[in-house]
Amino acid sequence: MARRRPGTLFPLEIEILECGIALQSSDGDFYGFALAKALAGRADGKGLTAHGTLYKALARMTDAGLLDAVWEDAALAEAAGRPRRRLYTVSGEGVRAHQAATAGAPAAAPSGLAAFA
Amino acid sequence: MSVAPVSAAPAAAGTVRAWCEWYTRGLPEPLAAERRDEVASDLHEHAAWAAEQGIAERDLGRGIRLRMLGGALADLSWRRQQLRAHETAEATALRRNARGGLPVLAYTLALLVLVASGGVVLRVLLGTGPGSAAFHAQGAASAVLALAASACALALMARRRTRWVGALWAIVAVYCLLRYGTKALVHASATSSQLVYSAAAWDTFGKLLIVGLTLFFLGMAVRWAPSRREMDRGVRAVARASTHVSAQASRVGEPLAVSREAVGG
Repeated sequence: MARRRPGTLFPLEIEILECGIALQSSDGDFYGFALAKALAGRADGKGLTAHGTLYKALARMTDAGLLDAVWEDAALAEAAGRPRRRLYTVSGEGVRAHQAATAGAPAAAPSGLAAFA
Repeated sequence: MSVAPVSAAPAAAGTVRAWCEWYTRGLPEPLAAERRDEVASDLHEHAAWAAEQGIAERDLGRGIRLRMLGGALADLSWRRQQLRAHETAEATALRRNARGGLPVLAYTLALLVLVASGGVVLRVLLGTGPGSAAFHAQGAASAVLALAASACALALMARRRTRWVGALWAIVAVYCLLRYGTKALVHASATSSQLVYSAAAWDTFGKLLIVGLTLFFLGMAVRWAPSRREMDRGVRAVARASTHVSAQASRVGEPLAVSREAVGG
Protein backbone atom coordinates (compact mmCIF):
# COMPACT_ATOMS: atom_id res chain seq x y z
CA MET A 1 0.00 0.00 0.00
CA ALA A 2 1.24 3.47 -0.84
CA ARG A 3 2.46 5.53 2.10
CA ARG A 4 1.89 9.23 2.24
CA ARG A 5 3.94 12.05 3.65
CA PRO A 6 2.22 13.87 6.52
CA GLY A 7 0.08 16.75 5.30
CA THR A 8 -0.35 15.47 1.76
CA LEU A 9 -3.34 13.99 -0.03
CA PHE A 10 -3.55 11.01 -2.38
CA PRO A 11 -4.65 11.88 -5.95
CA LEU A 12 -7.95 10.05 -5.33
CA GLU A 13 -8.59 12.17 -2.24
CA ILE A 14 -7.98 15.38 -4.18
CA GLU A 15 -10.44 14.17 -6.84
CA ILE A 16 -12.99 13.25 -4.17
CA LEU A 17 -12.70 16.72 -2.64
CA GLU A 18 -13.05 18.38 -6.06
CA CYS A 19 -16.10 16.32 -7.05
CA GLY A 20 -17.56 16.58 -3.55
CA ILE A 21 -17.29 20.38 -3.54
CA ALA A 22 -18.96 20.49 -6.98
CA LEU A 23 -21.74 18.07 -5.98
CA GLN A 24 -22.53 19.78 -2.70
CA SER A 25 -22.67 23.19 -4.38
CA SER A 26 -25.56 21.87 -6.52
CA ASP A 27 -27.24 19.26 -4.26
CA GLY A 28 -26.17 20.32 -0.76
CA ASP A 29 -24.45 16.98 -0.10
CA PHE A 30 -23.41 13.80 -1.91
CA TYR A 31 -23.43 10.03 -1.42
CA GLY A 32 -21.12 7.22 -2.48
CA PHE A 33 -22.57 6.24 -5.84
CA ALA A 34 -23.14 9.89 -6.90
CA LEU A 35 -19.48 10.49 -6.16
CA ALA A 36 -18.46 7.36 -8.12
CA LYS A 37 -20.42 8.65 -11.13
CA ALA A 38 -18.85 12.10 -10.84
CA LEU A 39 -15.35 10.60 -10.57
CA ALA A 40 -16.00 8.39 -13.61
CA GLY A 41 -17.24 11.39 -15.58
CA ARG A 42 -13.99 13.28 -14.98
CA ALA A 43 -11.56 10.69 -16.30
CA ASP A 44 -11.45 9.51 -19.90
CA GLY A 45 -12.39 5.87 -20.23
CA LYS A 46 -12.28 5.30 -16.47
CA GLY A 47 -15.10 3.23 -15.01
CA LEU A 48 -16.88 3.61 -11.72
CA THR A 49 -14.54 3.58 -8.74
CA ALA A 50 -14.39 0.18 -7.03
CA HIS A 51 -16.46 -0.24 -3.88
CA GLY A 52 -13.53 -0.97 -1.60
CA THR A 53 -11.37 1.86 -2.92
CA LEU A 54 -14.17 4.41 -2.71
CA TYR A 55 -15.56 3.56 0.72
CA LYS A 56 -12.16 3.07 2.28
CA ALA A 57 -11.12 6.53 1.07
CA LEU A 58 -14.38 8.06 2.29
CA ALA A 59 -13.99 6.45 5.72
CA ARG A 60 -10.38 7.63 5.98
CA MET A 61 -11.25 11.19 4.95
CA THR A 62 -14.17 11.27 7.38
CA ASP A 63 -11.91 10.12 10.21
CA ALA A 64 -9.41 12.81 9.22
CA GLY A 65 -12.08 15.51 9.42
CA LEU A 66 -11.96 16.33 5.70
CA LEU A 67 -15.54 15.14 5.20
CA ASP A 68 -18.60 15.15 7.43
CA ALA A 69 -20.95 12.19 7.17
CA VAL A 70 -24.54 11.61 8.36
CA TRP A 71 -27.03 8.89 7.61
CA GLU A 72 -30.11 9.92 5.71
CA ASP A 73 -33.41 9.82 7.61
CA ALA A 74 -34.71 6.23 7.29
CA ALA A 75 -38.30 7.46 6.77
CA LEU A 76 -37.24 9.56 3.79
CA ALA A 77 -35.36 6.65 2.22
CA GLU A 78 -38.29 4.32 2.84
CA ALA A 79 -40.69 6.81 1.21
CA ALA A 80 -38.38 6.91 -1.82
CA GLY A 81 -38.27 3.10 -1.91
CA ARG A 82 -34.52 2.68 -1.55
CA PRO A 83 -31.93 1.92 1.13
CA ARG A 84 -30.87 5.00 3.09
CA ARG A 85 -27.84 6.86 1.84
CA ARG A 86 -24.84 8.02 3.79
CA LEU A 87 -24.63 11.70 3.00
CA TYR A 88 -21.28 13.47 2.89
CA THR A 89 -20.23 17.11 2.85
CA VAL A 90 -16.74 18.52 2.47
CA SER A 91 -15.80 20.17 5.76
CA GLY A 92 -14.01 23.50 6.11
CA GLU A 93 -10.82 21.60 6.77
CA GLY A 94 -11.42 19.57 3.61
CA VAL A 95 -11.80 22.75 1.56
CA ARG A 96 -8.55 24.15 3.02
CA ALA A 97 -6.71 20.86 2.38
CA HIS A 98 -7.98 20.85 -1.20
CA GLN A 99 -6.88 24.43 -1.76
CA ALA A 100 -3.47 23.68 -0.31
CA ALA A 101 -3.09 20.52 -2.41
CA THR A 102 -4.16 22.13 -5.69
CA ALA A 103 -1.95 25.16 -5.02
CA GLY A 104 0.98 22.75 -4.81
CA ALA A 105 1.83 23.86 -1.28
CA PRO A 106 1.77 21.62 1.83
CA ALA A 107 -1.44 21.88 3.83
CA ALA A 108 -1.48 24.73 6.33
CA ALA A 109 -3.23 22.89 9.13
CA PRO A 110 -0.91 20.13 10.29
CA SER A 111 -2.96 19.37 13.39
CA GLY A 112 -5.93 18.19 11.37
CA LEU A 113 -4.04 16.62 8.51
CA ALA A 114 -1.70 14.77 10.83
CA ALA A 115 -4.68 12.65 11.77
CA PHE A 116 -4.67 10.85 8.43
CA ALA A 117 -0.92 10.61 7.94
CA MET B 1 -30.59 -1.74 8.65
CA SER B 2 -30.25 -5.01 6.76
CA VAL B 3 -28.94 -5.20 3.24
CA ALA B 4 -31.80 -4.49 0.85
CA PRO B 5 -32.35 -6.71 -2.17
CA VAL B 6 -31.45 -5.28 -5.56
CA SER B 7 -33.74 -6.10 -8.46
CA ALA B 8 -31.18 -5.85 -11.27
CA ALA B 9 -28.29 -8.27 -11.61
CA PRO B 10 -29.22 -10.10 -8.42
CA ALA B 11 -26.43 -12.65 -8.69
CA ALA B 12 -23.69 -10.01 -8.90
CA ALA B 13 -25.27 -7.99 -6.09
CA GLY B 14 -25.55 -11.17 -4.02
CA THR B 15 -21.85 -11.84 -4.56
CA VAL B 16 -20.98 -8.32 -3.39
CA ARG B 17 -23.23 -8.67 -0.34
CA ALA B 18 -21.67 -12.04 0.52
CA TRP B 19 -18.18 -10.57 0.13
CA CYS B 20 -19.17 -7.61 2.31
CA GLU B 21 -20.58 -9.96 4.97
CA TRP B 22 -17.31 -11.90 4.86
CA TYR B 23 -14.87 -9.01 5.23
CA THR B 24 -16.92 -7.29 7.92
CA ARG B 25 -17.17 -10.42 10.10
CA GLY B 26 -15.73 -10.05 13.57
CA LEU B 27 -15.76 -6.24 13.42
CA PRO B 28 -17.82 -4.20 15.89
CA GLU B 29 -21.44 -4.53 14.75
CA PRO B 30 -22.19 -0.79 14.27
CA LEU B 31 -19.11 -0.43 12.04
CA ALA B 32 -19.91 -3.59 10.05
CA ALA B 33 -23.58 -2.58 9.65
CA GLU B 34 -22.56 0.87 8.39
CA ARG B 35 -20.34 -0.64 5.71
CA ARG B 36 -23.00 -3.18 4.70
CA ASP B 37 -25.66 -0.46 4.48
CA GLU B 38 -23.42 1.81 2.46
CA VAL B 39 -22.62 -0.97 -0.01
CA ALA B 40 -26.33 -1.91 -0.21
CA SER B 41 -27.19 1.70 -1.03
CA ASP B 42 -24.46 1.77 -3.67
CA LEU B 43 -25.76 -1.43 -5.30
CA HIS B 44 -29.29 -0.06 -5.38
CA GLU B 45 -28.20 3.30 -6.84
CA HIS B 46 -26.00 1.52 -9.39
CA ALA B 47 -28.92 -0.64 -10.53
CA ALA B 48 -31.29 2.36 -10.69
CA TRP B 49 -28.76 4.37 -12.70
CA ALA B 50 -28.16 1.42 -15.08
CA ALA B 51 -31.92 1.12 -15.65
CA GLU B 52 -32.10 4.86 -16.45
CA GLN B 53 -29.21 4.55 -18.87
CA GLY B 54 -30.67 1.45 -20.53
CA ILE B 55 -27.65 -0.67 -19.59
CA ALA B 56 -28.28 -4.39 -20.08
CA GLU B 57 -28.56 -6.46 -16.92
CA ARG B 58 -25.62 -8.60 -18.00
CA ASP B 59 -23.39 -5.54 -18.38
CA LEU B 60 -24.60 -4.22 -15.06
CA GLY B 61 -23.72 -7.52 -13.40
CA ARG B 62 -20.25 -7.41 -14.94
CA GLY B 63 -19.77 -3.80 -13.83
CA ILE B 64 -20.78 -4.65 -10.27
CA ARG B 65 -18.41 -7.62 -10.14
CA LEU B 66 -15.57 -5.56 -11.56
CA ARG B 67 -16.11 -2.89 -8.92
CA MET B 68 -16.03 -5.56 -6.24
CA LEU B 69 -12.87 -7.20 -7.56
CA GLY B 70 -11.13 -3.85 -8.10
CA GLY B 71 -11.66 -2.88 -4.48
CA ALA B 72 -11.09 -6.25 -2.84
CA LEU B 73 -7.57 -5.41 -1.65
CA ALA B 74 -8.77 -2.07 -0.28
CA ASP B 75 -11.58 -3.92 1.55
CA LEU B 76 -9.09 -6.29 3.13
CA SER B 77 -6.77 -3.45 4.04
CA TRP B 78 -9.68 -1.54 5.61
CA ARG B 79 -10.68 -4.67 7.55
CA ARG B 80 -7.13 -5.06 8.85
CA GLN B 81 -7.01 -1.43 9.96
CA GLN B 82 -10.34 -1.76 11.73
CA LEU B 83 -9.34 -4.98 13.47
CA ARG B 84 -6.14 -3.32 14.67
CA ALA B 85 -8.03 -0.22 15.81
CA HIS B 86 -10.57 -2.24 17.78
CA GLU B 87 -8.50 -5.11 19.12
CA THR B 88 -8.24 -5.64 22.86
CA ALA B 89 -5.00 -5.26 24.83
CA GLU B 90 -4.87 -9.07 25.17
CA ALA B 91 -5.17 -9.51 21.41
CA THR B 92 -2.39 -6.96 20.82
CA ALA B 93 -0.15 -8.78 23.30
CA LEU B 94 -0.97 -12.12 21.64
CA ARG B 95 -0.09 -10.75 18.19
CA ARG B 96 3.21 -9.36 19.43
CA ASN B 97 4.04 -12.65 21.15
CA ALA B 98 3.25 -14.54 17.97
CA ARG B 99 5.74 -12.31 16.14
CA GLY B 100 8.36 -13.11 18.78
CA GLY B 101 7.71 -16.80 18.25
CA LEU B 102 9.31 -16.82 14.80
CA PRO B 103 12.87 -16.15 16.04
CA VAL B 104 12.42 -18.85 18.68
CA LEU B 105 11.32 -21.24 15.92
CA ALA B 106 14.36 -20.27 13.85
CA TYR B 107 16.76 -20.95 16.76
CA THR B 108 15.00 -24.24 17.50
CA LEU B 109 15.19 -25.40 13.88
CA ALA B 110 18.85 -24.44 13.60
CA LEU B 111 19.53 -26.37 16.82
CA LEU B 112 17.64 -29.38 15.45
CA VAL B 113 19.75 -29.27 12.27
CA LEU B 114 22.90 -29.13 14.43
CA VAL B 115 21.80 -32.11 16.53
CA ALA B 116 20.69 -34.09 13.45
CA SER B 117 23.96 -33.34 11.62
CA GLY B 118 25.94 -34.39 14.70
CA GLY B 119 23.90 -37.58 14.89
CA VAL B 120 24.53 -38.39 11.22
CA VAL B 121 28.27 -37.70 11.52
CA LEU B 122 28.60 -39.91 14.61
CA ARG B 123 26.51 -42.70 13.11
CA VAL B 124 28.45 -42.68 9.83
CA LEU B 125 31.93 -42.43 11.36
CA LEU B 126 31.32 -44.91 14.19
CA GLY B 127 29.17 -47.32 12.18
CA THR B 128 31.14 -47.59 8.96
CA GLY B 129 34.35 -45.56 8.87
CA PRO B 130 36.25 -44.36 5.79
CA GLY B 131 37.56 -47.82 4.90
CA SER B 132 34.16 -49.53 4.83
CA ALA B 133 32.25 -50.33 1.62
CA ALA B 134 29.13 -48.76 3.13
CA PHE B 135 30.94 -45.48 3.66
CA HIS B 136 29.45 -42.70 1.52
CA ALA B 137 32.26 -40.11 1.37
CA GLN B 138 30.29 -37.32 -0.23
CA GLY B 139 27.39 -37.79 2.18
CA ALA B 140 29.70 -37.92 5.21
CA ALA B 141 31.49 -34.76 4.09
CA SER B 142 28.14 -33.04 3.61
CA ALA B 143 27.03 -34.07 7.09
CA VAL B 144 30.26 -32.63 8.54
CA LEU B 145 29.69 -29.46 6.54
CA ALA B 146 26.09 -29.34 7.79
CA LEU B 147 27.34 -29.71 11.37
CA ALA B 148 29.85 -26.87 10.91
CA ALA B 149 27.35 -24.64 9.08
CA SER B 150 24.62 -25.14 11.68
CA ALA B 151 27.12 -24.40 14.48
CA CYS B 152 28.13 -21.20 12.64
CA ALA B 153 24.46 -20.37 12.09
CA LEU B 154 23.63 -20.70 15.78
CA ALA B 155 26.69 -18.66 16.79
CA LEU B 156 25.85 -15.89 14.31
CA MET B 157 22.16 -15.94 15.22
CA ALA B 158 23.08 -15.32 18.85
CA ARG B 159 24.25 -11.77 17.98
CA ARG B 160 21.71 -9.19 16.89
CA ARG B 161 23.88 -7.71 14.12
CA THR B 162 24.85 -11.01 12.53
CA ARG B 163 21.72 -13.07 12.97
CA TRP B 164 20.62 -12.48 9.37
CA VAL B 165 23.91 -14.03 8.20
CA GLY B 166 23.23 -16.88 10.62
CA ALA B 167 19.88 -17.53 8.94
CA LEU B 168 21.67 -17.80 5.57
CA TRP B 169 24.16 -20.26 7.06
CA ALA B 170 21.23 -22.29 8.35
CA ILE B 171 20.07 -22.68 4.73
CA VAL B 172 23.47 -24.13 3.81
CA ALA B 173 23.24 -26.52 6.76
CA VAL B 174 19.72 -27.62 5.85
CA TYR B 175 20.69 -28.28 2.22
CA CYS B 176 23.87 -30.22 3.07
CA LEU B 177 22.11 -32.33 5.68
CA LEU B 178 18.92 -33.16 3.83
CA ARG B 179 20.23 -33.42 0.29
CA TYR B 180 23.47 -35.38 0.85
CA GLY B 181 23.91 -36.04 4.58
CA THR B 182 20.92 -38.36 4.67
CA LYS B 183 22.47 -40.42 1.84
CA ALA B 184 25.42 -41.22 4.08
CA LEU B 185 22.98 -42.29 6.77
CA VAL B 186 21.09 -44.52 4.33
CA HIS B 187 24.35 -46.23 3.36
CA ALA B 188 25.44 -46.63 6.97
CA SER B 189 22.21 -47.63 8.68
CA ALA B 190 20.00 -50.57 7.70
CA THR B 191 17.04 -49.05 9.53
CA SER B 192 17.35 -45.79 7.60
CA SER B 193 17.68 -47.52 4.23
CA GLN B 194 14.65 -49.70 5.01
CA LEU B 195 12.67 -46.60 5.95
CA VAL B 196 13.67 -44.72 2.80
CA TYR B 197 13.05 -47.57 0.37
CA SER B 198 9.71 -48.50 1.98
CA ALA B 199 8.28 -45.00 1.56
CA ALA B 200 8.10 -43.93 -2.10
CA ALA B 201 7.35 -40.31 -1.23
CA TRP B 202 10.45 -39.94 0.96
CA ASP B 203 12.49 -38.20 -1.75
CA THR B 204 9.67 -35.74 -2.53
CA PHE B 205 9.18 -35.12 1.19
CA GLY B 206 12.89 -34.39 1.59
CA LYS B 207 12.84 -31.91 -1.29
CA LEU B 208 9.73 -30.21 0.06
CA LEU B 209 11.38 -29.97 3.47
CA ILE B 210 14.45 -28.35 1.90
CA VAL B 211 12.30 -25.82 0.01
CA GLY B 212 10.15 -25.08 3.06
CA LEU B 213 13.08 -24.60 5.45
CA THR B 214 15.02 -22.58 2.86
CA LEU B 215 12.08 -20.21 2.42
CA PHE B 216 11.64 -19.95 6.18
CA PHE B 217 15.30 -19.08 6.87
CA LEU B 218 15.39 -16.78 3.85
CA GLY B 219 12.36 -14.97 5.28
CA MET B 220 14.10 -14.69 8.64
CA ALA B 221 17.26 -13.34 6.96
CA VAL B 222 15.18 -10.65 5.23
CA ARG B 223 13.37 -9.88 8.47
CA TRP B 224 16.63 -9.60 10.40
CA ALA B 225 18.57 -7.80 7.66
CA PRO B 226 19.86 -4.43 8.85
CA SER B 227 18.08 -1.37 7.49
CA ARG B 228 19.88 1.02 5.15
CA ARG B 229 20.28 3.47 8.04
CA GLU B 230 21.99 0.81 10.17
CA MET B 231 24.23 -0.12 7.23
CA ASP B 232 25.17 3.56 6.75
CA ARG B 233 25.90 3.82 10.46
CA GLY B 234 28.14 0.74 10.22
CA VAL B 235 30.01 2.14 7.20
CA ARG B 236 30.54 5.46 9.00
CA ALA B 237 31.81 3.63 12.09
CA VAL B 238 34.28 1.67 9.96
CA ALA B 239 35.42 4.89 8.22
CA ARG B 240 35.87 6.60 11.60
CA ALA B 241 37.85 3.64 12.92
CA SER B 242 40.13 3.54 9.85
CA THR B 243 40.72 7.33 10.11
CA HIS B 244 41.57 6.87 13.78
CA VAL B 245 43.97 4.01 12.99
CA SER B 246 45.75 6.00 10.24
CA ALA B 247 46.04 9.00 12.57
CA GLN B 248 47.57 6.77 15.22
CA ALA B 249 49.91 5.23 12.67
CA SER B 250 51.12 8.61 11.42
CA ARG B 251 51.62 9.75 15.03
CA VAL B 252 53.74 6.66 15.69
CA GLY B 253 55.75 7.35 12.50
CA GLU B 254 56.52 11.02 13.38
CA PRO B 255 59.35 10.40 15.90
CA LEU B 256 60.83 7.82 13.55
CA ALA B 257 60.96 10.41 10.75
CA VAL B 258 62.63 12.94 13.06
CA SER B 259 65.20 10.48 14.24
CA ARG B 260 65.91 9.46 10.61
CA GLU B 261 66.53 13.13 9.74
CA ALA B 262 68.71 13.48 12.78
CA VAL B 263 70.67 10.47 11.71
CA GLY B 264 70.89 11.81 8.15
CA GLY B 265 72.02 15.27 9.45
